Amino acid sequence: MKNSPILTLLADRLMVPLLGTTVFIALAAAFFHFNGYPPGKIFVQILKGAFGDAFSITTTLGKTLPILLCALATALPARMGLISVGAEGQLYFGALAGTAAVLAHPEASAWLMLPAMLALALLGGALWGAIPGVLRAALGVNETIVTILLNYLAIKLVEYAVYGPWKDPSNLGWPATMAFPGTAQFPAIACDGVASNWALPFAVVLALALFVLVEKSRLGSALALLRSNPRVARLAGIRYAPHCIAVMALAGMLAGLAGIVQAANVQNHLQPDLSSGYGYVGFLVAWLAGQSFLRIIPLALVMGGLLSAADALQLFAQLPYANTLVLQALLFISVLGVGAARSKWRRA
Amino acid sequence: MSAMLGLLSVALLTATPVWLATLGETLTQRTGVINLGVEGQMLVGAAAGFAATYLSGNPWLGLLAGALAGMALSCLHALLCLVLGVNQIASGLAVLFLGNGLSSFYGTTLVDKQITGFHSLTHSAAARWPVVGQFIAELTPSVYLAFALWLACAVLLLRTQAGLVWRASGESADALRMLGKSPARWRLAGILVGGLFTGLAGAALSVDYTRTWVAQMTAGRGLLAVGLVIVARWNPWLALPVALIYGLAEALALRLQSLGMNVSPYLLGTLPYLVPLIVLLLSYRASRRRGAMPQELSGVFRGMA
Amino acid sequence: MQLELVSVTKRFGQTLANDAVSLFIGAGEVLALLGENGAGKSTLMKCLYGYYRMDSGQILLDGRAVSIASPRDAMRLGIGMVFQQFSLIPALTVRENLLLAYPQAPAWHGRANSAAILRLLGEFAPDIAADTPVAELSVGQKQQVELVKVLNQQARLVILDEPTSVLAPEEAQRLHGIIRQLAATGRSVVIITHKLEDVRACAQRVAVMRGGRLAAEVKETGVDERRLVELMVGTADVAPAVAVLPQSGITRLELRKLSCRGEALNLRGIDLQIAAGEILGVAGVSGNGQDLLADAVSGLAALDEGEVLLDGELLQGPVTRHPDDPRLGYIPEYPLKNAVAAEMSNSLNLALRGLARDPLFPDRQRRWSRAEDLMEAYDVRPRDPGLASGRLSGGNLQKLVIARELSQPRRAVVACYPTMGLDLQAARAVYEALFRQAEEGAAILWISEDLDDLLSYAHRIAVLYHGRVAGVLPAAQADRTHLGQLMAGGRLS
Repeated sequence: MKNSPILTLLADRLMVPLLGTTVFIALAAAFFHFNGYPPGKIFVQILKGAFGDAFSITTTLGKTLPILLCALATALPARMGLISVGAEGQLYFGALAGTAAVLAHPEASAWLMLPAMLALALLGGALWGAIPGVLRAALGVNETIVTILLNYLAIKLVEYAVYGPWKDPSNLGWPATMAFPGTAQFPAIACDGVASNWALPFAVVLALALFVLVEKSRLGSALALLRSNPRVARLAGIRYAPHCIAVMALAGMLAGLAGIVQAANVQNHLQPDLSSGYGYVGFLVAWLAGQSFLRIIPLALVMGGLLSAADALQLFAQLPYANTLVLQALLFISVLGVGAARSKWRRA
Repeated sequence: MSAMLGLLSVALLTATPVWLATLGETLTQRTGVINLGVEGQMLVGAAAGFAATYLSGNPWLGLLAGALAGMALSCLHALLCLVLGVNQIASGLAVLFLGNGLSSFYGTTLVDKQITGFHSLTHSAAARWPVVGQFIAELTPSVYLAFALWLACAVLLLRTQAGLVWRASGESADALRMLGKSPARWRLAGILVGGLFTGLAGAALSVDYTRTWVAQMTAGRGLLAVGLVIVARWNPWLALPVALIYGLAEALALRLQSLGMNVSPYLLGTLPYLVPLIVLLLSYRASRRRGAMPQELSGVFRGMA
Repeated sequence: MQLELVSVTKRFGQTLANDAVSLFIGAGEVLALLGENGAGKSTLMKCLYGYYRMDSGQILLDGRAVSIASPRDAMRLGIGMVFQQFSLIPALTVRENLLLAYPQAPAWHGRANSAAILRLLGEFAPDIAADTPVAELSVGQKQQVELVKVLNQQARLVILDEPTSVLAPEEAQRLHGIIRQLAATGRSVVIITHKLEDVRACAQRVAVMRGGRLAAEVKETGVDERRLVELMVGTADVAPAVAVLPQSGITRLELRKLSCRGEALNLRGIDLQIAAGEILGVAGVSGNGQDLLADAVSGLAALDEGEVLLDGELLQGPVTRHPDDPRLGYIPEYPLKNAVAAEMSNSLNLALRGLARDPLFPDRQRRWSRAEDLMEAYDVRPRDPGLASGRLSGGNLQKLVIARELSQPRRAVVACYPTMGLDLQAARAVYEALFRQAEEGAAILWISEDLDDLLSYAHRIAVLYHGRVAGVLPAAQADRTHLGQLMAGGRLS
């Protein structure tokens, strides 16, 4: 009997995600079991905590947005072969820059405030992203190391700001800026008790636009060419340096947007624990999605659910919050390992 | 004791974990593998080392446990990149994430626990030696251990046949195969020894330097070490001076604070990142010159215009 | 040691590389294995060295049948081979490279205990200091170290694969001396070569191979060289059909005081003019700046000084460069590394030259069908536009690059070793495509190591030595010895 080619193709496409998920569930179950938590119960709790009711869906969506944007900020440079782990720092620095606009003129009208805050946040993120881009293009410095070091630096700068000059004295020792005025918040959307803001659909549209640009346009071919062979790209009239800097700056903007939404709408202040590692989670999502902008969208939602469930688990099952870090790592390892094993087996 | 020697001893104390990690990563990279998981291995080493010291009361056992934990975690890197063929950068990040997760998870119960570290040498006979006595006594056993390991590694790597094969596996896997030796085996050794050293580095941090455990306490030291390997141009002898760059930046930040300088401690806290980063940028070009970088690594650093 | 190959056969897929070849190598004898590229000489010796597994046949060592499954087996039996691509590690010193391969190397490396390892180095190459990094040696010196490395492993038979093709004539003479010295100490030597000079200088016996078979075996003494060439080449006509005349007077491509920095050496003050329709050949021992010259003219390398003009118009200069100029065709050396994006499809690689000028959303259908046409016309196999170019064989990849660069009319073409890896038929097609460009008025800069081809088809020949042009001669007035002098750094008399 001959297999239908479509079925074979489908099996081929689904093989890695399915097998990867299976390996992940096995590893996660082993981890919970080993630590004395019944895996079955925990998995049900995770599902409930992520998507069980309007409240948990609201939390999940709130976490999905920064993850989605940070994943886009990782996948875009990866398309030209740059391994950036800098979304976390770009998120912080974008928020820092955007907050400057708010603190400068807290009484400005929404029409002035929102664009100014957004523009500065994007600019800040772009700057933080462009630094490793410039270093890579001009000196050939490894971007992975620089982006990670810049993460620590950006967090230190935010700490400096909120413990120092920007600290609001009325906070009684709590390190944070003053509360953002209502004019500095992205308009909310609500439906059936589930709440979010307009930045979320905007981010999804961004992901779709990036998908079309990178998969179908000349720019996508240019990035792929730069990843494959920068020297040959020159023969096609495509230069490494400007692309490297532009792509990193654009990635920084995406993460910077995540930062300012987090500060303005979620936390309502700029504070040191602005992100719960969203930059790194975004990195995982981008790699799990195979750097595909389309696949990033559902995966960001899943990861957002996992994070919001982690909060719930800490409350109900007394499971330390860090379990979610372990789960993320196990997921990353499973998909990475299965994917590589698959291509190795195919080559042989 | 002169102020300079005092600053130097503080610098050495702060630099020791980074020194050990740089040394370990140098050994790994010399076999042609880069491991960004150093940070995770240090965290696991720090947690395991602290726990072992807390339970046994013996800091030496703590250092051993930390080293072994680091090595155990490094097996994951070996599995992913040597056996399954995962991209080395991605594989290293997986190690980093898992190390971060595991140490945070199991370390929750260790927070706020007290340990007694090594006995201070400040009242020993050595402390009464002229000029350097005080300086010697300020240093702790992990500094001396790092010093011994540093000497041993550099000599073994640069002066023996095994060291020659070790270096050759990072230069040309093909040449090694022609000699009937398996590059993968030497790389496995490189990863495991690197894991041992970086685990030890983490334990030195938690057991001997801070004597506390906090989640993510390495704060980028492991990644700095990966950068410093490049600054040191893959030369084990240079692991000490480059680690001291970090140590001096940190010591200076501490000193300026204690002198009551009117600078925010958070701003000073950027120095230990900023200074090595700048040194990395200044020395990057030189490190790419012929002969410095193990040739098998050039694929990882590829993609230059 | 006496060695005999009996009826060795080796196939690569469809091609029969060695067809029942039998060969005898005597003790203390220097045997030249003569033949064209692709005649099967290297394959035969790689079978003997255990690098390839022969499909059938036997190896007799001193009359006894032995099995050689790997280079290590060969080494153990006293058979060593020096390849064209050296296996030395550039970052390590000469001493370390020798220690690495030495069978009984000491565990501890003191100053004193490497005397045994360096003894043969002193004997055959006394001018090489043991603590020099290999990266700093000349090609000839690297070859000598490689040879000592093989001898250190107690080799009694040494196989040299095209050893003089990378050497300047002076260095080649030095090597010939070493080969005679080896034979005098009772070792056997097989020298794989396509140069009659090598035969003349040191061979005692010649075996000529052609098309995978042994064409003849002759004692060197008193051999008729013309006869050897006939045996080697056969009588088939493989000369390209087209011969072009230069349209003299119109300078098309001009290099003015071109200087640029390279990794190994720099180009300094290159001045060349090529007329429309003219083929300027560039000769030289490899490693004298050929790749850098090609990169500089095509705009890939940054110029320190000088300029490249096309029809009097600035093409490349220190400030602006245009590697994507559609008037320029470029066939670089090592196509996998320098001419294609290996992970991307044939279709994209064929459309690569105009990519930056394409519309934002290009017509993929048209790109695909154009690729199909080109692959058909240039016989690229397999004919699959969707296949990643990195999966093509070397010859087919070269044809893909030729198709991209020469299927459109160009005003200037830079071609580096354009027939590398191609059989004679395909090579002829490449030459024809190249000459057609000249016929239509393009200026051709053709870099080659094959003096005979250059002498036959180029209008003028420039010799590159140490990053400078040592001289330019009309091909009609040039001969091998004259060019050889220039290639070795001699001055034009």
